[in-house]
This record gives sequence, C-alpha cells and structure tokens, in this order.
Amino acid sequence: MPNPELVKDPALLTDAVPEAGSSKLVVTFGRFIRHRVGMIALAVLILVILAAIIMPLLWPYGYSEITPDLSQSPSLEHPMGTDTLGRDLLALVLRGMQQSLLIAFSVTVIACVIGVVLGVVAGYFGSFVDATVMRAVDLVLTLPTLALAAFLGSLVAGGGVSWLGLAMVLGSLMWTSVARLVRGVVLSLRELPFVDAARVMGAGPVRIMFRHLVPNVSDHIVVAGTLMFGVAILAESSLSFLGFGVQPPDTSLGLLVANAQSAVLTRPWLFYFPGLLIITIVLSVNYVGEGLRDAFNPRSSPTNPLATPRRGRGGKQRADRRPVTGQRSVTDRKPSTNANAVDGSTVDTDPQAPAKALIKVTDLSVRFGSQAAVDSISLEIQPGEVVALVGESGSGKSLTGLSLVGLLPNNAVGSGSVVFNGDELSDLTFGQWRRYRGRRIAMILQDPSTTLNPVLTIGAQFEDSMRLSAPVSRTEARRRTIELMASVAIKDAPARLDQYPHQLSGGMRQRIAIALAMVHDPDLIIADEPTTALDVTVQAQVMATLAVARERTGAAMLFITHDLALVAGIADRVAVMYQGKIVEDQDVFSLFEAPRSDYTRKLLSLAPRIDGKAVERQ
Amino acid sequence: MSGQTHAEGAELLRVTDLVKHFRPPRGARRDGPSVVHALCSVSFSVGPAETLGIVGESGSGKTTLLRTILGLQKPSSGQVLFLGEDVAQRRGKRARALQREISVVFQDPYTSLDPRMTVADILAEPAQIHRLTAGSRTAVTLLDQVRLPAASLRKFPHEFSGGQRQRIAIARALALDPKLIVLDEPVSALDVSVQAEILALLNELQRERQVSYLFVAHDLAVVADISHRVGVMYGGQMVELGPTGQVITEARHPYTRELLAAVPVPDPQVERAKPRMLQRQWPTETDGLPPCPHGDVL
Repeated sequence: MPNPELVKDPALLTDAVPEAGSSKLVVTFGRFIRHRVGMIALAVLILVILAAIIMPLLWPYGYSEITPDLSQSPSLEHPMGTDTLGRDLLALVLRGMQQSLLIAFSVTVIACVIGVVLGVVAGYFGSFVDATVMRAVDLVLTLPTLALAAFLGSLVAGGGVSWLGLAMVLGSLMWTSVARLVRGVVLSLRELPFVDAARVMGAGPVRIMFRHLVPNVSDHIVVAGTLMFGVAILAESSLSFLGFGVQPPDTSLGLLVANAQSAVLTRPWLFYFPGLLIITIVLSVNYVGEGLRDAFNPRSSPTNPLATPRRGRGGKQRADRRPVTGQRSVTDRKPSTNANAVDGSTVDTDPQAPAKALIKVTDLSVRFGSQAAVDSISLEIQPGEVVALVGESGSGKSLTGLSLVGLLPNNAVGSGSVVFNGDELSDLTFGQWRRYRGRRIAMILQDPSTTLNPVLTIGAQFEDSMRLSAPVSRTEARRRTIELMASVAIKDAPARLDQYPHQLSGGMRQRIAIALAMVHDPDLIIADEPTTALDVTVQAQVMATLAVARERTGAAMLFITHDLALVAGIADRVAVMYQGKIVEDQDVFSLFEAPRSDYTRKLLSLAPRIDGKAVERQ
Repeated sequence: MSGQTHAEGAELLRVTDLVKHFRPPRGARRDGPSVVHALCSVSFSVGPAETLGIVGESGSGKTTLLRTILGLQKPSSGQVLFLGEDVAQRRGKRARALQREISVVFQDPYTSLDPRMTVADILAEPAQIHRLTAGSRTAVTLLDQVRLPAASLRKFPHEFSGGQRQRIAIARALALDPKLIVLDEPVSALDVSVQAEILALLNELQRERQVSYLFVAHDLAVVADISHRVGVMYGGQMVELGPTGQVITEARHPYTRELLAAVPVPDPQVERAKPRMLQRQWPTETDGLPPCPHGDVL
C-alpha cells in the first residue's frame, strides 16, 4: 500500500506548479498590450471606427447634400474639398467608411460562421463528410471571386445592391480559408484525449464540436477573422470600384475612389483621401491581426535559435541582491572570475577533490525573472565518473544539464561558472560552443521520437554528425555507423541505415540516439531522462545499453532522472536536487544505505517496487 | 480462467473472446501484414470494488482493449458484458445509463482536460450531458474527494501541475458515481513521487466508494501496487492472469519474468549484480503464443 499519509497531505511533496495566476485570456491580453505595433494599429482602427460612427452626427453637411461650392480643393470649410456636384467630400468619406466597415464586418461574420461550421464538421466527422466539404472548398476556390461577386451583384441589383446583399455574396465566397484552417486544427484536436473523455461521458457530436472543439480553435478564428476583415474591405472596394457594389447616391470608399479616377489629375483630393483611408484601415487591421497572432501563440514569432543564452553578472551575492530581470547578454565578461573560488556551502563535495575534475560547476544559477530555478549549485564530475542528478519536475535538474552545454531557453538568465577540462564554458559564443557540443560533450534527450530528424535516414544522420569533425567517405561513414550500432546492440544494423526514424520503435530510436552521442567519443555524456518515454522492459534494455556504451568509451556521464531507483545500477555518485538546490551529494552506496536528507529518504520510500506488500494484498 | 476470486453473479465487467483486427492503410500494407491483430481472443472479468491491473508494452493491445470496453471502438468479434448486458447491443436509454456507470482517466493530464474550460466547467460537464441536477455531486465535493482546495474551481487546467491535473481528471471520473473507472496509464506521465500520491488517492477512493478499477500500465511495479489481480498482455493476448501475488511469484510467461526483472531495485548492490540484458533474451517470434484463433478471418 502506498503511504496513506500522502493522501491526507499532498503538499508533503511539491509537485511543480506552473506559473500561477490568471486565465489564458488575461495572459493573452497582456501580451497583446505589450505588442507595440498591434496596439498602435488597434488605436488607429478604433479612431477610424469611432469617426465613422460619431462624426456624421456632428458634421454640418450630409453625404447627399449639395452645396454651392463645386469642385473645391480642401479648405477650412471643406477639409477634404468637394466633388463636382458640390458635395462635401468629408461627409461622403464618412458615409463611405460606414458602408465599407459595415459590409466588411458582415462579410467577416458570415464567412467565419460558414467557415467554422463547415470546417469543424469536416474535421470532426472526417471521411465522407470531410471529402464533400473539401471538394466544395476546392470548387469555390476555382471561382474567380470578384467576377462571380460582380455577376451575382448585378443579378440582385434591381435598383442597387443593399449592403446586406453584397455582404452575403462576398461572405459566401470567402469562407474557404476559415474552413480549411478550422478543419486542419480540428483534425489534430480530435485525436486528443479530452475529446475521447467527452465521448466516454456520453457527449454527442454537437456538444463536442461546439463546446470543446470550437473554443479551442477560437484563437485561430479571431486571427483569421481579423485578417479577413482587411480582405473584405478591399473586396468591397474593388467591387464598388467596378460598379457592382454599393450604388449611388449611396457611397463607399471603393465607389469614391472609382468616381475620382477620372479626375485624378485635376482634382486629386477626391482620389487621395478615400484611397489613403482604405490603405490605413487595411494596414491597421493586418497589424492588429499580427499582434493577436503573436499574443495567442508567442512561439509563432521567430526567435534566433543560435542566440547565445543570456548571462547574469557576477556570482551569488550580487545575483541574490538584485534580480537580473531583463538584463542584456553579457558576452564580454572576463572568463572565470569565480572559477577558482571554492564555494564553502557546497553540500558534501570535498573541497580538496582532485584538481583534474572533467567538469566543475561553481555557483550556477538559472533565473526566470526574479525566480531562481537553479539556485547557486556546485557540482563536479571526474573523468569517467557517472553522476546521477535526481529530482522531480521543476527541481531544476534539466536546466542544470542544459547549462552545461549553453542551451538555456531564451528567457532564462544563467550565472556562475562551468569549467570543462580547465576551460571556462559559460561565456562562449555560438561558434566557440561548437568545439564542445556534440564532440566533447554529447547529449541524449528524453524523447527519441523528436530528437532524430524525421526526414533523414538513420545513416544520413550519422554521416552528417561524422562530417562535423573531418571529411569522411560514404563507405567509411557506413562502416563506422554499423560498428556503432552494433555496440548499442542493434540487430541487423546494415538494414537500419536506410530506414527513417518513424520506422523504428521508441527503444530502437533511443539506442540510435545513444550511438549518435558516441560518434565523436565524447568526454562527457549528458543523458536527460533518456528512458522516461519508454516501456519498463525497454527501459531496462536501454539502461544496460547505455552503461555498456559508456564503459566502452570511458566517458563521464551526467544522468538526469526523476526516478531514484533507476540510478542504483548505473551511477557512481548521486546528487539529489530539490527546489533548485542540491540537497544531497554522495556516492551511490552510501546514499541508498544511509540517505542524509529527508527529501532523499522520502523519494526512496516512494519508489514503486515489487516486494512483500504486493504479494500480501489480495 | 485462473484467479477467479468472485462468484459469477457478482461480476461487474466480463470480456469474452474479444478480437479486434485492423487493416493497415494501403500504403503500409505493401511490406507489412494485410491484417494487424490488436486483440486475440482476450477474456477476463472485473468484480465489484476490485482492481484488475493490466500490464503490457506499447503495441501489446492494451489501449485497443480499453477503447473497445469504453465503446470508442467496435470489436471485430467477442463480447463486452457490463452487468450481464452486452455493451455493443445497448441503445438509447440503456446506452446512456452505461455512460454513467463507466468513466475513464487517461494517461496524459495535459491533454485529457479541455484547456479552455475552468475546473468548475470540467467537473460539471458529466452532469450536464446527462441532464442531471440532483444526485450529481457538486464540484466542491468532488474536489474535496481528490484533496484539492475549492479555490481551484475558477482556475484553468494549465494552472495546475501534472499531479493536480490528474486529480482533476479523477474527480471528473467520479462525478456520476460510476461503478467502474478505467484508468489508462494514469501515472506514467508523472514523477515517481507524484505517482505514489495518485496511487494512494485511488486506493483510498476505492475503499470509500467501492468503485472498481481497470488499471492499465506498462510498469508491473505500479500495477502490482494497486491491483488485486493482474493480467499480462503480450502480442494482443492475455498471457497471464491471476491474483497479484501469484503472478509475481509464479510468473510463467517469459514476458512477465522480463517485466519483473525490469523493475529497478533501489539498491546498488542488487542492481549491479543483475545480468545486463541489452536485448529481449527470449525468442519473440513464436514465444509460446498460440496462433491467433481468428487469424484468417479477413
């Protein structure tokens, strides 16, 4: 039986809680507010819309009102001038904006409704329904939208098209992009367990589609709808320009541009004001859309993956005193200011340890804003030694591993020193890192299904890696690859060379990843939860393979895991991490026999094991 | 069938000769088999307030088995009886009733909760679907049962840790007072320390509410920790089924023995003395399995 105490008090163990606080919408809104271009565009857009609504009420001239001032250029009385009939252009433009915005808005709503409904139905039901909808999409896409809209518009037009008629015509032609988008997202969403969970509860298709799927596509819909608004303004303008849209005496921005066309040289103001407005509206709509997209999905905006991670200044004391939030990267810091300082507070590491440590981490911290995820830890690995770093998620163990190869996430700030074979690593540039990564320090990551390149054969991935150090012939590369694969107990290695990662099982992929790590005979292997994604039996095989491969090359290893029991067979020394600190660091035999920290004892007591308990329980 | 510990009449779930085969998509069929047998004549039963653990590796058919029991897939042949009634034959009202009796907790707590719903909405959904107001438990009671504070109600799933999300999923599974909860690898995505919490919680809930579990996982140590009886699946067949202690002490199938050997022991001396198995040590092609009885149906 598991420890009943745990049921009473789950807080006994800190299961990592992600950034607490507000709902997703609030977070998104906050991100949008910080998006400068998006906010400016939104302000412009709101201004334009407010102007279109309020100004006609205040402006002394009506849009159909004919004044005695014919064809006047802009003046104080008529800020945008007047047209040939003597109508005030500002009044006309305001009316045109009203009409254009109203039509564009209706088009967007109509197109989004049609697109969302058809898209979600197609994506959810799939097969025949999907095929039908997608053929309809193809069909609509083959139609020249404007020509057809013009044709339909002229049919409807007895004495002029109403804005609603025009919106319906355009909307029924513009839904395809939304439908495709929604279908695509729904296709991937419907495979997720929460949809299955709803189905098991007895939810019908309508509920699943509109209660679960549509809300989860909503951010995509908002962005697509915004962008479509811009397209709709342009489409309406083009149609009116061609004379199939809004009919005089009513007007729209497109119609105003059309009317001004003949007078562009003599009375250019008639052309420029409505034209500039169209550009302004469409541009701001697009920037708002872009801002929304970035806000909903911050990862969609590209960041430079080669950027050197940010570094905090100085060591422990200074870092502790003031948060290093927003600090710019400091790459010119003199190396190893504190590399030789022995941190007295280091838990259980011998300060007189042999000076030839392969890697020596001193006072390493990793911060996100003011929060320290790794809190000035120190750690040494001797050549050929296997050190296990054990901790639960959120303990900072993976960040520690990433720090050793300079691969911290972009929003993290690291500080402290990492000395590898006597060289300070913490301030290297991307180019300098290449001497170490993969060659001297190799890394094996958790998920073998994403760490191998899906479009390259296994052989090609080995070849690429080998070419990093020296040119190598195809046959030589294959020979060495087969050798490496045999060393990680892959049966039938020559046949695997030409296979792609998806043709292999998870265990096989992780063996390949191990073999890849061995290509350059590294001095240090960092294995970050290499077996967590695998079945237990495969885990045992991969662990044995890893041990054998490591022994063959004599490399040192940092083995990162959440499972203390797993490291009993492979580690020489175990460091236990808890809330960013190393709470215990001693050799494997003493640790399992006499753990010093309470946290280690707790971890030990929790490891699931097969023993008397299970046999008794019946 | 070995390990039958309860009387026939008291059975909650009975699965008889369940077979499921898939036709691989045309592209994959060229060099592969024309039919894949995910389940080969699987039979077992679950009694009231009992936990049956099912262990198997990926590809052993355990997920297919669950999906068939949950009605997410139709079996190729064989029956799933719940309280003596064929699940596949139920229609209308009886089918709705069944949905209230069986609920599910999935492996990945990050994707099994709708990210756009608050915890309150998530917990209220089962009752809404079945248009129940009285009799359904209030969300606060449910949260209390899984030891989460009532303040969680207004939060969204992403604000919780993996272990807490799995508690929410368990609370949702309890909402309609089911007789059977199907647990599909409910702790494999969690840290060892959190696994223990969730297993302890499940045990306690079973004692309080007399609910049965069908607990599926790939880790025999986890399954043994919570199950009264254990079934071992390999290659679409149930190669071993019996009381937990018996399966552990008298393992007959080589896969069961491999599973036992694979459980890491938190003792360096023991671990280092273990023979290193780089590969599966027993022949996997014939491995003592009878041929799938419906092998040539399609």
